Amino acid sequence: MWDLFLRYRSPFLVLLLIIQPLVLILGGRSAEYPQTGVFGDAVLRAISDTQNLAYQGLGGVSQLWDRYLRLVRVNEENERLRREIARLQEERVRLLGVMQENARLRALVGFQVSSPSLQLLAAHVIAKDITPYFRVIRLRLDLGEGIVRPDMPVVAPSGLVGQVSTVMGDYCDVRLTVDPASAIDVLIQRNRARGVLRGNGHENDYTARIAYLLQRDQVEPGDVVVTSGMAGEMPQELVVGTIIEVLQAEPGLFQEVVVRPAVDFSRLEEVFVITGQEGS
Amino acid sequence: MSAVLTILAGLLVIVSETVLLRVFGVLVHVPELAVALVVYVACRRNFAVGAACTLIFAAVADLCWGGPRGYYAFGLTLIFFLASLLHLWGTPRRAVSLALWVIPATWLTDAFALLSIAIFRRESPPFNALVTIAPITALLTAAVALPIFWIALRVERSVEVRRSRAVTLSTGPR
Repeated sequence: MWDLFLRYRSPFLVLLLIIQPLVLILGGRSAEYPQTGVFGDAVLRAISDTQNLAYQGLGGVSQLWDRYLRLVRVNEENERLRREIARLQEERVRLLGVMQENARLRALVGFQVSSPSLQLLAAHVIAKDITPYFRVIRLRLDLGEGIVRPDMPVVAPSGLVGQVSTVMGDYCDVRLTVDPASAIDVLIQRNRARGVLRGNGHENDYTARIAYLLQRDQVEPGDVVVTSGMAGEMPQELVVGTIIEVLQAEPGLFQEVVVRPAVDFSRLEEVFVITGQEGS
Repeated sequence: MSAVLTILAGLLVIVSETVLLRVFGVLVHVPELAVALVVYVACRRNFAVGAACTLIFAAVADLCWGGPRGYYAFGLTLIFFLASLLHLWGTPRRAVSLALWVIPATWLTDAFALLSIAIFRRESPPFNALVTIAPITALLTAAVALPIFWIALRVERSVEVRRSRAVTLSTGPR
């Protein structure tokens, strides 16, 4: 058998190479949510575990880089002062990190206190997607294995982050509000005008647009956009972003606006998955 | 370099990329190092080893790319076949030549992936990104791949030198 494989390994590998993407594509098309299967799930979990380990290992790299940049600026003629400044700067960077973490945790606690009706589950952002076409982040769930399901909303203290798209054990992928596949029912907070928020994933930035907004609804840059709570498990009045541009559409029933998300996705570290609401 | 070592190093590159992008907060212009790895194995390994490596790299990169499953693997597979065909004309010996091959390969991978989304899912993917984002991504991928290729070729040469020394010692002049 092994001899047979060795003899025909090239055609066999070519066949596998062709079959693999087709199986993944056809498997993904037939399911409502992307399923990976038992083998795929095991591989995904192994990758996520490795990403988690690497993330923890690399956590201090940016701090070290900052420290290095500060050190090279110090005057070489004054060794004693340089050592002193380096020590103080190292301490300052460490304290700054502690203060920033403190501020983030205070904000998280504040969000939890200000939203007592929401059942929140804390999660850490450990990785992001590797192409510019999709807007997906990967979370490590601290205590949520088995609780989190696809479509559950994910929030940060500054606003809505996105919705869970895939769950694999204690890791999950989150489709951000700016992903082209994301669609969220929203309201303009000032006049309660309703529309559907979709990501502008193909654009060269992290923005979204509101479709199906009636022409007669007066909106202007600076208006705050919130969730309507009319669809799925999404609670109402979660801040989504701010209108930055009203597109001059041709005469018709609907107009379109561009929205800048309330959340800075480049700085996300801790988020909450909303696993339920009281009374729902 | 053995096939197993190539696969392990490639997996390390793919997984590290996702984490480094997260650590440094890079959002829009991200290098697609999986393409660089597929070009490398197609050009620098024999066909069977290259195909085995591509099979694994494509599966893992597909799980990390964030889009619907299978389409990125499809793009990478086609790039492997294309690069293998080009490899018949000659093997690039320098990191710079390999990196130059990565530029069209990255663009083509994205084009194949988006095209297959349009065909299989009947959606209209962001084709305009092939003009606005993909060229920058391709250049960025080549720039990031250059030092990786340089290191890989150095390792390859040192392994070859060691192997030839071992052969000379065992069968050398008496």
